[in-house]
Amino acid sequence: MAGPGSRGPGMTPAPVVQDFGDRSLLVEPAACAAGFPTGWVLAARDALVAAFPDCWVVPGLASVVLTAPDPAARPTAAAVRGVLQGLEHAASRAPGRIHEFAVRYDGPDLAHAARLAGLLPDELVRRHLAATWTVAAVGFSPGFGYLTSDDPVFGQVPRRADPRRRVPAGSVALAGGMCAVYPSATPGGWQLIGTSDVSLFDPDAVSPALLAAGDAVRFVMA
Amino acid sequence: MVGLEVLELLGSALYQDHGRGHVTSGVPVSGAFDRQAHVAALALVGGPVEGATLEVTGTLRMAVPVPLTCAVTGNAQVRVDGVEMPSWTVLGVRAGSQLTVRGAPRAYLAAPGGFPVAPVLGSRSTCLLGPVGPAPVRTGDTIRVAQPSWCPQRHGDLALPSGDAGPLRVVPGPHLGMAALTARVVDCSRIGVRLRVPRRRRVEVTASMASLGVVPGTIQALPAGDWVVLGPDAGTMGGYPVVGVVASADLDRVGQLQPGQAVRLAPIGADGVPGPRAARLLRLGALG
Repeated sequence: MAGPGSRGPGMTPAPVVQDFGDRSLLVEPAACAAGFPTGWVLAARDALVAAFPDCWVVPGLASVVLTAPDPAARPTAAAVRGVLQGLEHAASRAPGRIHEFAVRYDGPDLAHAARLAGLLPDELVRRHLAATWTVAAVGFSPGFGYLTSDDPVFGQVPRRADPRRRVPAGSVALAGGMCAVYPSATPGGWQLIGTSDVSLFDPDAVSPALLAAGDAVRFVMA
Repeated sequence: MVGLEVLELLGSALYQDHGRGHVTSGVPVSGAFDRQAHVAALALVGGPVEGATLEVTGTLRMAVPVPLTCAVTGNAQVRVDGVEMPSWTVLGVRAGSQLTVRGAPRAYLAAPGGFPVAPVLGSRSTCLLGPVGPAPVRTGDTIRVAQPSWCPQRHGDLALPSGDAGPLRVVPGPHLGMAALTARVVDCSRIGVRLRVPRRRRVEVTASMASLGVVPGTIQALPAGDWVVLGPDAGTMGGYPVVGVVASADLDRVGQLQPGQAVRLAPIGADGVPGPRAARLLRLGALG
């Protein structure tokens, strides 16, 4: 059988599937190009949800975690590899919903983040507005979406060395090639570049998180 | 509806049930940290299985205005008007009494019908991250009780873990391996239990990782050298390397760890994970 990373003629290498405790499996693409494999992750998520409807399927930035209700119900690694066979590395899929968030670029780290990216603050804002952002994953706190984009300049903005104890709700932030809007006030280590009034999490709604993995986000000037 | 009046709370008292199913929205699963104790408390008072108990860490003292049937499980001490009463059985408390429940670290108080707080996203659990679900109990609150003096029927016996202090079984990986070791608990919450591991067992954490989905029981290696076992209120994604995940059958015991305690961890394979250890029987519905 083809091992991880091996590549037959015209074949997509099989994904790597590992034990993650006794109820979950960690599923990763065979090889990662630069940047986040968001397209592959979202396509793998869709395929696993369809194949294993009783499991939770949680996309990460470069992996998918599949969790069964109990250890006996966990699919085998071979079954998961079978479902994902032939999934293209740069798999493309239609985006989910498209959101537009109005932003005030008034964050305390805007100037610092721009310097890290080798840009003037106005240029960073322009690139942030121009990029199309994809919700790669949802987690960290309820409704928190990890957004990735195709503009490599954001990869030059790392996390803060000294995380804040409290990041206000609505903060628009950058770190490690990603962008996020904080749904609630939590501790956080990302660079704060602006503020948005969007409500990202409503526990009384049928669908409590506004963002779902696979959605697209565009930012506009408030 | 009648209720128990909270006279004093030192620590926390949180409504908990079986938890939530909204991890893809980033909502932690929550629910009782020690599920077995929670389920046993509900079973003792006749259910319902999907009902809420109160997870008590510290001391909760209540005025009981009407005759009350209840049960307290977990690592618990129970007093009625200052007199020590047994845990892990059904109690009849007279009207006008004071009921004190002490959890060290976690006790579960159940009353017939469960505590009728409003469910949020399909669960009556309080999640401290967010926050989501019912507000934590405070001094001066009234804890509403659905059927205070209902007399539970006998439903047979319930097998319980023996409380045997064998090692916590861990499925190693996926990012780093681990060998059997003894760690010391330095901090505990529903978010996670922080372990200090022997220096020679520490793993070097350098590069930051792409965040990935995590589950309760996941053991993350922090850059400073400590490990954290994630609890039911932990975020649904994490960015630290994972040394292993506690076997499902041993997760309840993580919820009963206390600061200062030594805990042994033993690596096992993911296949053929044994169930709970040797059990003792709990007589259901027997008034004690």
